[in-house]
Amino acid sequence: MNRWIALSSGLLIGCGGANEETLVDELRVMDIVADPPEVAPGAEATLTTTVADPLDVAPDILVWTCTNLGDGCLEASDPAQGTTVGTLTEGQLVTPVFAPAALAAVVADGTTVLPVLVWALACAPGACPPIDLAAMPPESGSADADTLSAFLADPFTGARDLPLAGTSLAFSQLGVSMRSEPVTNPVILAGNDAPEVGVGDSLDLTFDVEAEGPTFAYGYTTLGGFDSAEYDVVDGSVTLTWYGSEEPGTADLWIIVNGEEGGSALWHAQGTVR
Amino acid sequence: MHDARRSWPDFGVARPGRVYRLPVPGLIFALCLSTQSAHAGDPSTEEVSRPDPQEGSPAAAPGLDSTPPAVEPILPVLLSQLPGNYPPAALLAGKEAAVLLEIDVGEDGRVIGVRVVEPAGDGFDEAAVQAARGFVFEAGRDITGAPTEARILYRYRFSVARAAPPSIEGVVRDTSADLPFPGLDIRVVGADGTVAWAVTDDEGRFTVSGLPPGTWTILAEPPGHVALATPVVVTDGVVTQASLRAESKAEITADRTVTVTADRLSAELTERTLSQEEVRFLPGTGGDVVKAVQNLPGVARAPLGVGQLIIRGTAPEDSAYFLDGASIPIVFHFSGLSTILNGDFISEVAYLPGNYGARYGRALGGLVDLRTNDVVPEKSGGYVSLDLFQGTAWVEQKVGKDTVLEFSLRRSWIDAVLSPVLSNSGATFRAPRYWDAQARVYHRMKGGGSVDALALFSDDRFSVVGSAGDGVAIGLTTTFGKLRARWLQPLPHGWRNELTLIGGPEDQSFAFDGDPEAAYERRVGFGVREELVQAVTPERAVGWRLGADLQGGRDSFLYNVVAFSPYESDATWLFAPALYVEPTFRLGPVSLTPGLRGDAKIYDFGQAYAAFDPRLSARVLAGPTSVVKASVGRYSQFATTRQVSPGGDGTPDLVPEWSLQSSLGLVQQLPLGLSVEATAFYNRLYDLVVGREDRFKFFTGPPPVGPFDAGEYANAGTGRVCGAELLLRLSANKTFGLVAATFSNSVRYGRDGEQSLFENDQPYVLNALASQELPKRWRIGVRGRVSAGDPYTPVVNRVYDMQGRAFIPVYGETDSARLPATWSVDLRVDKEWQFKKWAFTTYLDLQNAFNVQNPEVMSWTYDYSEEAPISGLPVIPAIGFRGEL
Repeated sequence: MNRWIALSSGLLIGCGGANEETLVDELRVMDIVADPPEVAPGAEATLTTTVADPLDVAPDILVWTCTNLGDGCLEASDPAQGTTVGTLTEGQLVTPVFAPAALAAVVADGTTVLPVLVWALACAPGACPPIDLAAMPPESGSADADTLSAFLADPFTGARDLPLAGTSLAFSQLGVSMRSEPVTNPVILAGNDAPEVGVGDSLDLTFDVEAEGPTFAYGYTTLGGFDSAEYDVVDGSVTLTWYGSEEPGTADLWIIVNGEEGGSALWHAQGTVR
Repeated sequence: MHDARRSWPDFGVARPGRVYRLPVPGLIFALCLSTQSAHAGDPSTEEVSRPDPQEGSPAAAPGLDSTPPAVEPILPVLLSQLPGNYPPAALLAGKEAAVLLEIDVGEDGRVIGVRVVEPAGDGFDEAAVQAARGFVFEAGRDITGAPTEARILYRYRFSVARAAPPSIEGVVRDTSADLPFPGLDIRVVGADGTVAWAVTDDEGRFTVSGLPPGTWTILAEPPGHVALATPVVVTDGVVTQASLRAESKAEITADRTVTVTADRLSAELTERTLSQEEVRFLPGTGGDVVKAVQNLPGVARAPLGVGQLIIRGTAPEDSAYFLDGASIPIVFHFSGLSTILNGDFISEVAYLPGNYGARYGRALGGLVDLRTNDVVPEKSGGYVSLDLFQGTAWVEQKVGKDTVLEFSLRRSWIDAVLSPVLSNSGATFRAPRYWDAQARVYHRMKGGGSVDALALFSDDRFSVVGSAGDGVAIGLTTTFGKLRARWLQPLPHGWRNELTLIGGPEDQSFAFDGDPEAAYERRVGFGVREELVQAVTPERAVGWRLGADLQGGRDSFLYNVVAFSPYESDATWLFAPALYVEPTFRLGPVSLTPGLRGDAKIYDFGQAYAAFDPRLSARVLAGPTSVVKASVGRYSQFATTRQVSPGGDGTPDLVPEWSLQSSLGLVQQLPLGLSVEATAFYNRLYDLVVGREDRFKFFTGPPPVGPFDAGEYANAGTGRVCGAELLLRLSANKTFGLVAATFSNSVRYGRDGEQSLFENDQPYVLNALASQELPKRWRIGVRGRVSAGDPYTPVVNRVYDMQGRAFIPVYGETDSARLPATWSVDLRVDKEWQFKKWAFTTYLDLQNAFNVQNPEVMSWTYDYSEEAPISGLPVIPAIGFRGEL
């Protein structure tokens, strides 16, 4: 629906040049890669949360899962479960999670894939009360515990009380199934280390991608921008055009590849605008 | 008029059965001379009601028999008179005069002939004659004592000090070519039989002065036209304005025999009409009569200037659009630049913001009825018109005396201008364009009936095309064709029959990502309206309107834009009959119009719906120039086919939405061609359909903005709209102007009872327009508009969807923010050159002359970090040319 609105608005506005959506100029959760992206009930997955911090706010990160069977999050009743608070290490926070074993009955047919929402909240230190609460879990049954549980169960509503600036709230999915052939993450093959582009110039970055099924690539940078918000990966390859900024500098570059059925991969490098 | 119709030999000459003898002096004629006997504008009639023998010295008139009679006959005695009309120019110049008249007085004491014996010029002679024709005498008596006709001399004096103020200012024109009737006798008759006379000038205008307060009837018999008999109310200190429109006797139609300013609201309680002539030169409308409706009270400002009519706090889709009472899908082309029908087919646009009669239905909100011309022109003609947005060709061909053929073709060329320019930019671009065509044959029949057939076709396309020629990325097409036939026939006893047939296809299509029919809504529909009307007249206190209004056809739709809306598709036949009855009872100054309309809608998938709408309106002549109006009624609107169709994820048991509308208004005529209308209204909305707001749908304005109710369709909404409207209107000789103010509040209650504002709720809307004709065929106009901004729900945060790689807004309190107020000024200058066989007109319509960047639709940056409202159109200097044969 939002795509429709955005598309319709495009009728009135028009567009062209480097896509502004690809420029990251504030705190933003870039991606959460679940490895593996689809697990059996009770199995473990590793969540790698990547956060862009171009303003150097050194954010606190809260990562949690929400398994919604129609009556809120299973995990919300005990905030200590499935909740991790931490800070970034080289732009990332790695968190192990376990898919709720209680889902076994739901996905027992071997075909059903139940999405478990994986949330990440990045905030400048002290800016987001839920992170502070989660860092020192309140006593169960307390008002603070209720507040935290409510936030974790319904972050959309909870976001109303968060500051707009210096905050990034994002979600992805972890598939839970008992399928014999679960979805796997695509793989971005190495290359394009330390790319350089001239001021006002452009540079094509070509990546080889190993993936199953339709796959899409997204490029982001802290200087300049890419020419499109989305690229199709065709025949295991995709080329993104990076436009350099008007001023020289060092840029962080992220290339994210998403499979249509799930799964994600992220490539990060530092580039230079000369 | 009487002089021309009646003639007989002068006194002393035998008429059948009688010889007339009166003394001069003391023989045949008497001269009624008095310095006090008659003063224009003197309200003191007592003093002048009788001839003063001291001042009215008898004088012989030419051709008198001086033989003394055996018994002295008795002279006519002036019993009553009205002050008469002072010639305006002479009054302004302070001139005074006396005119000697020769007056023939009938046996009943009425004046049957007047001639000028000693003229004074400067308009005094004509004014004196008209004044004398209203004299009432005690009849003269012959030597036997029997009443007899007599001829007297009378000196009529005009005194500035005693000049009476005008009571009625009027104009008489014909409806076909809008030509005036110069030299036409106007008779104004009071309730007690008092008569005042006037005669029209070269522009068909007339003035009657010094009338006592009360109800008067204006009578006139334009040659070859239907006689006019129009009641008006006169009060002290107020000039009653009367615009009389006379139709050729062969052109009697519907309820248009006479259209009087003071009575224009009689057909519908809240009807406001604009004629093509009135709005052609108004700035900001491009001469489009329907766009001019957007300036009237009750209409909110449409964002981005698109073609939407947002009437009394209801959505555009809640209002209905008609062509001579037959339903049409849209009235504006997509861009809102123009009406879908060439304005030259339109005689007037009726705008009814609410509380309309039983003739109309199937709408919660207001309606607009385009009424086509019912005339055969004097001669054939045509024109070609070019402006910044479109080109128009129009041909009007008279065939014989009673038939006319009319053709129109229009095409916008914004795309033709923009496409070559933007295709070099490397950017995606938009290319709106429309064209329409109409053909019509109109034939007037003997006996006052007429038949006409109108074919119209309209096509709008709006697309975003890839710069590399890689096809349509997104496109919207609205196309429809209609064939409308109408038969009007007067029937005995004042009845009138109107039969209207209309049918044709309608299509809205949405192209997306190379699929030209990713979504569509289509109807192949028909409509039949049969209506019998018997109007209320001075002789008939009860009138009737009886009608049947049938609609039907086949609806089909497809929504295959699964990228952002679930798949939906269905096709179904539907039949929607309606019956209505609406009597009108006139009880003295009160007219009551109760009405009942019954509607049904039947689908072939087994669902049927019904609605019964009782309505009542009343008009009261509350004062000499005041009319008070009140109305209450129920108005139903069926759910759309998509909303009830099983194939459309619909809810088949939806009941019709309905509103309870009430209004109270006052119309007051003012001096100097001014009138003011004030209306208060209060509407409740019930059983509103809510849900599925997240689905793709066709829209005529900016795309909808959340938050959305995505649940199933349900009659779970209610609403309330209240407000006040004020319309001050000036319709003078060379000036047209209006000031319209609307103050309103429109609230909705959703599925959970949550209150929100109507999306285009604008607490105030103020419009002021004026157009002035200048010498040498120049005309200037100005329009100013001020309105509150639309409400919107602010975005207080955002969530990033890493799978879809897009931000999702987190909305704050519903409708807790409002866009800034908007204002704009439009200017227009017209200049016409008249040649022997053709005329050339050019104009400059400077829209948004001050280039105000009004934020009109709220939008956000892609990450919702900042508000980025979309501004309205910048200054647009629209230049146009028109050559007319």
